[in-house]
Amino acid sequence: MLKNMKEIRWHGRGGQGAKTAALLLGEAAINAGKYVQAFPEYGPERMGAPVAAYDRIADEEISIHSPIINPDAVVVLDETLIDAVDVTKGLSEQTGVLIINTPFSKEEIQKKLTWRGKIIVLDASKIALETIGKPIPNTPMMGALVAATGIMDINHLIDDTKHKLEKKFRTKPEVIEGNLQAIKRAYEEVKKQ
Amino acid sequence: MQKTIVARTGNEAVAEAMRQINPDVCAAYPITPATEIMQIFSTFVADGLVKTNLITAESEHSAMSACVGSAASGARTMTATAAQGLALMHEILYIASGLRLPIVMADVNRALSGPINIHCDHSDTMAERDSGWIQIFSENSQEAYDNLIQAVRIAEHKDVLLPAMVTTDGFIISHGMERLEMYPDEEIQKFIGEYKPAYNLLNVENPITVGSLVLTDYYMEHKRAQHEAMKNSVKVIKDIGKEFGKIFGKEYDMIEKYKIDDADYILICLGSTAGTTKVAVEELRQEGMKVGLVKIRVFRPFPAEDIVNAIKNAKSVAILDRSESLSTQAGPVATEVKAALYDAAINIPIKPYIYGLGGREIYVEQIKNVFKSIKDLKKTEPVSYLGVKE
Amino acid sequence: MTTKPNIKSWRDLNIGGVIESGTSEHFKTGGWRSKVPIWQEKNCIQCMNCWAFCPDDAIKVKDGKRAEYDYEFCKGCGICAEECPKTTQAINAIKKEDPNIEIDSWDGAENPKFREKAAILMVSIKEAKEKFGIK
Repeated sequence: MLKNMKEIRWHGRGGQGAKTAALLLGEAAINAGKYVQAFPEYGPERMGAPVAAYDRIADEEISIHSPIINPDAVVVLDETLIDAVDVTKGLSEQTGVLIINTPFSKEEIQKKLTWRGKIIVLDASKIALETIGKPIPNTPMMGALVAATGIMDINHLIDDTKHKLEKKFRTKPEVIEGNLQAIKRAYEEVKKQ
Repeated sequence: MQKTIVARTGNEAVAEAMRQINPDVCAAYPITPATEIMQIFSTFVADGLVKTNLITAESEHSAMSACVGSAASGARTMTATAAQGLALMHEILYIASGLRLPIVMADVNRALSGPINIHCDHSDTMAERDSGWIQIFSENSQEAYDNLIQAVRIAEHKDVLLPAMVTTDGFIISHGMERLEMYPDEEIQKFIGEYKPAYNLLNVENPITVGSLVLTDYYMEHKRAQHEAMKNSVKVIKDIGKEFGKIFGKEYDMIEKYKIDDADYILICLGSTAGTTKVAVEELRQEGMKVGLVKIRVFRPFPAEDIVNAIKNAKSVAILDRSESLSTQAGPVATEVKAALYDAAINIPIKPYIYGLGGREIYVEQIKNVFKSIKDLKKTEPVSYLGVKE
Repeated sequence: MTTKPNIKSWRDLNIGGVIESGTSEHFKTGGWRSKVPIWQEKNCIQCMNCWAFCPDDAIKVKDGKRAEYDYEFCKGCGICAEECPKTTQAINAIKKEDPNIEIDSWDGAENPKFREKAAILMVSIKEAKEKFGIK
């Protein structure tokens, strides 16, 4: 395995943007000079069905083309997935980190899990609702992930997301600003924990 | 040269290469996991970024037929497909190569049904190994991009004039986003050059017949000529691979040799698994085992000589096949490598494996075990399945 | 299928089996003929139907007018006789092999004189024409 390679797994429900988050994060990392792989898990996915997506981020070329089995971090976009999917599968209790979008506290989430490792909770849906106006948790969860893992400078992520959204939402500047605010707020809230 | 570093999936990389190649005609029909290629390319057509005439056919059989007509009319022609789509093209693939039309196709490797499966293996491409097409396998998005650009030059070379398919592994590469170094449009245009067709149906000054009946009198002579063109393509592929390296920075050959100089144990495979094998090689070398990889980049023409030279000093060799030919012997790669060794009168113990069918995952740990399995190999063994539920 | 044997090596073949134009000139199809069309110039109204419908190049045109058949390329399909206006009866087709010289039902030729002439045509069209003054 490459030194300093980070592997990330995203859990979400079809339509929540787990794949998009993995791709956006990967793209941001590439623009920050890293080598990246970002890929979704393909199955019979539909709106609401549990889906997963992955990122590999490293300083050197990544030649491995296997699925990720031991992620360094797991991001869960919907806490109800904890009951449906083994979200901590392959995640080390010593070095791994689990980041969950939930209004519940760390202790309450811990009760649902047998896994004993570092848990970070964040009400990303609420942040998104207040900043973007829609409960789409993927962009704030990217901020949370960067805060929790330090895989890149948060400013890289913010600049890159801004650049991309400017192309996509030329006529809706409020969407761009909202997303950037969401990333920043999530980053800061996680940094405080 | 100003290279642009972007994030692209395999399909996006292929579509970008097609945009830069800017073919005269594309005829295609969508199929998972290749659909995105033409979907993205169609936006380039709609946005006027290419001058391509895009033909949306009603089946792959029709798409390849349109490609044959277009190429016979002197147009630089491309298409993309996968699995069942490639199988439906089967009949026309032979016509394309028989008429010596340098069509370039992006093929996304996917398992052939049945049972129905959409994930990666090489059964679709291997099923067309006798179709007279040049077959180039790509390890990652970058290679898919680089290979497609080179394929245009190779196919159109006057000593070759054969169609070529460039393959990527379905989903693993086609839908995996990676770092891609893109070269400037004008450099690509300069590299591929202007297309000068060998013949042109639309030239009314010089009317010709294409696709005439050739019976017992000359059919065999035409196949012999195709055989020669395939043989010629080896030098062309190598030359163009070197030239590509000089201009764009990464050289290509028929095979890629990875840490084989002092290797006792060598593994042969193709496609994305070669990348995973490189990690296994690194890890085993740290453990003190002298291992290496031979990645077959070009499967047709088969680089028998290069492979024999690369592996002849090894103590034993493992061969991974990502398709089942159901001959009960071994997969196509192992069978051909064994034949090449026989021709060279070299008797190295071989252990052939079949793995990864229908997208079955392949891990570094499994590949390490493959290397370990040939450590004390005394004689060639029958084929075994890797990663199957026993 | 050229007139003289011309065995080519695989090295000399045109790429992809492409055939240049004009090769049908070397491909004499007259040997296929089982029916012989006979043209009587005196009845001909120069409508050019036969020339237009001939699937080969067996009907020659000279100075803008219908000329004699090129029997080297006439496959004897009878289309010219079929297309020849029934009122003119300039073209009749007969069976080459038939000793009883049955004129084909579709040719409309009932003239017994013509049948007589045609009997000899079985031997040689050219000779028959000369003998009976058919032009």
